Amino acid sequence: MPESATGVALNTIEVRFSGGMLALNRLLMTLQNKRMPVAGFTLAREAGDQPGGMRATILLDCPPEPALRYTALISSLEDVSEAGPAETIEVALVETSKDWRTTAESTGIEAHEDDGTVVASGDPEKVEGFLAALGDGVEDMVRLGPLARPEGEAGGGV
Amino acid sequence: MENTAFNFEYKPRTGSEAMCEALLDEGVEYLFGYPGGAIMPFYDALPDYPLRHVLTRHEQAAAHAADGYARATGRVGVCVATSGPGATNLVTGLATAQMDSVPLVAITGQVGRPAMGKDSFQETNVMGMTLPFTKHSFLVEDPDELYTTMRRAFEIARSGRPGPVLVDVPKDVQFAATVDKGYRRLREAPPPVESPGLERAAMLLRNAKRPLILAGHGVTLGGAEMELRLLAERTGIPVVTTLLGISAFPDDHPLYLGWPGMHGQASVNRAIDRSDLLFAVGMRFDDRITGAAHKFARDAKIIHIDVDPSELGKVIKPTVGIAADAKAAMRSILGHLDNGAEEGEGCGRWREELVKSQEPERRRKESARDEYGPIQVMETIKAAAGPDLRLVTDVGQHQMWAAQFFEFTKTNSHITSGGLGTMGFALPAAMGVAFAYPEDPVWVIAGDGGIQMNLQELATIRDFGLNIKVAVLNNGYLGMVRQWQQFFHNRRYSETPITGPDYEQLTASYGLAGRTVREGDDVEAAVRWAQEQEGCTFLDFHIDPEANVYPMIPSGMSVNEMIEEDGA
Repeated sequence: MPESATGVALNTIEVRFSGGMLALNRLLMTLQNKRMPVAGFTLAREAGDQPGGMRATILLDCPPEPALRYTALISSLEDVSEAGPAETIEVALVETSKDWRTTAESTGIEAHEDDGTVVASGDPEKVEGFLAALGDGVEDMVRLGPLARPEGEAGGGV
Repeated sequence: MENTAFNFEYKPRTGSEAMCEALLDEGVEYLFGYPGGAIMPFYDALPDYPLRHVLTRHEQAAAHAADGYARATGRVGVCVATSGPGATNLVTGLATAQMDSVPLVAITGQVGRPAMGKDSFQETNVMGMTLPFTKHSFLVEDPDELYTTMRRAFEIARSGRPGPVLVDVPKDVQFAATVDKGYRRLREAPPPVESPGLERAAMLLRNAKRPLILAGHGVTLGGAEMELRLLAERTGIPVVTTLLGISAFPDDHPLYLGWPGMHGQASVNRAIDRSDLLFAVGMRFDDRITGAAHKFARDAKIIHIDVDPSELGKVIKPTVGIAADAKAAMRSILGHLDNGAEEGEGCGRWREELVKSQEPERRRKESARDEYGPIQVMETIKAAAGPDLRLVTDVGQHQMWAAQFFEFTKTNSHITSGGLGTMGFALPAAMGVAFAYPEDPVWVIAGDGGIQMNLQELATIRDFGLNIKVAVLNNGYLGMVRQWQQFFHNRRYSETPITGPDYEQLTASYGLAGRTVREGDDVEAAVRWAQEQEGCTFLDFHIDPEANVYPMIPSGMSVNEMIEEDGA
């Protein structure tokens, strides 16, 4: 039963696999073949010993239960060494003259300023709350994500 | 004097030899295949090894034959083809095996490494092409990896939920000298099943008033027939099976009810609809079983056991989901049931109700026994072939009639393409069964459409003297499609009337014996003749062109919309 997109429930799976392009092809084919509700897909090279090792972060737009089933399915692929849930975050780059530090603290997100731009990140709902609290004080904004929280060392995007 | 014992030149083994050695080390007896340019080095090495190769007349048939062998024996079937069209011809066979979780290893030749990616003669990306319906696949570009990869392929094919694995080997890799890198097992055997769900399942089984066991192909694949029987007998719970679960439980057992689904017995569909607990083991709630999933077994708690965790909750949300091998899980549940009487309260009354509900079906079957038609043909074959019969069916109306009216008392004696529904499967698959069990009577039942899809295999059957009996239920139509056209397309029989050869003459041209049987002919004499003849015989039964399979739950509907007979 393909899961219909909910537009609200995002679950992130992080998949580590080896086998290069063939393995990547198989992973993508599995996502398509089982009609997984993919809302985002990022790929990075793994820094470990395994040649051709990659890490894919997949955002699934479905409730946690089917996401777990899809994780089981992905983890059964022979190329996959590890598959499991990962934390989802959203990043917002904001220009504002308001007191963003207090707002960030009260909404529970991480934020810092870099060359006049506030980089705010955290749980998508909390980032939403942060932006809502700033309200008209937002002069310019770029939103990235939702995406998986980076974990460990990666060799760089591919 | 020269010591001749040391007077030889060391010759490293080639990739092809490594492949053959891996096959031997896996205990392979039979390979089903068809040679061609890119797989020639392998075929050159093959005669030096005690491996029996069966030359089929089409690569699709090689895959189905390996599939039939694997289903019948529980071992990994092996098929071989060359690159390009040889590989593409395997595709239907691989998809068939994947859908029914059959362990296969398919070896394909590939153009040499320098020629790959250049649209070379007979080059095709068989890896890419088969990704969606292989459990795993390998393109072996390092000759030193060949032996290990072959061994891994077998391990993957048979472990967990079995499935087909493709090993694609470029021609120059088959030629190349190899150094053995050694082989180590990749994955350990699954740990013993430990799940809180097991105890809960036992509790639900104890307390249910109207329980049913629904057993699927996973029971046969896991060799769990004995555990299924023990569980049923300990609890007194009636057993139904999926189409592929047929013969996992003896049909003549008092607890066996039949099989549900689109063309399953009406009484079994109703029993599921009324049940309060469904113990589903080694099955995946195929849409042919559930119909409209949201209306399926609405009042029942569901215990779902499957070796593939991604099956749990895929179609039906279980009350208790257990990701485990059928055998281990049922053993554990049996352990959780206390000794002594385990039969749930009211289970006896439930069984009586179910037996009573099957009376009309039994009467219908009795009355049809004397009429010329599918039921009579099935019963006559069963009587002539005896209890050791292994039946291989194709896909269509005859498949449903066979499943409905044969009584399967021998374990794993019903072989058919369930998930993919592959017409043309039966004849080549029966070859695999006949190689596996040369002493057992093997019958093929097919329609006049499907039999023509791999008819060329009569030559293979003749060459090897296989004792396969073929019964074609010939209605001059693609019968199941015609039936749907009758019910849902206002009898517009668009492209379903189909002709065929004169099978008596055709089989004679292959050096085999065949007979035509029509209404009024002595069916029993014809079947007895076929059974008693040495080697392959062919019976062409001309039946009512508009005979229908009943009951029928139209696709996507529920038991409430079941059509039970003409005009219903």
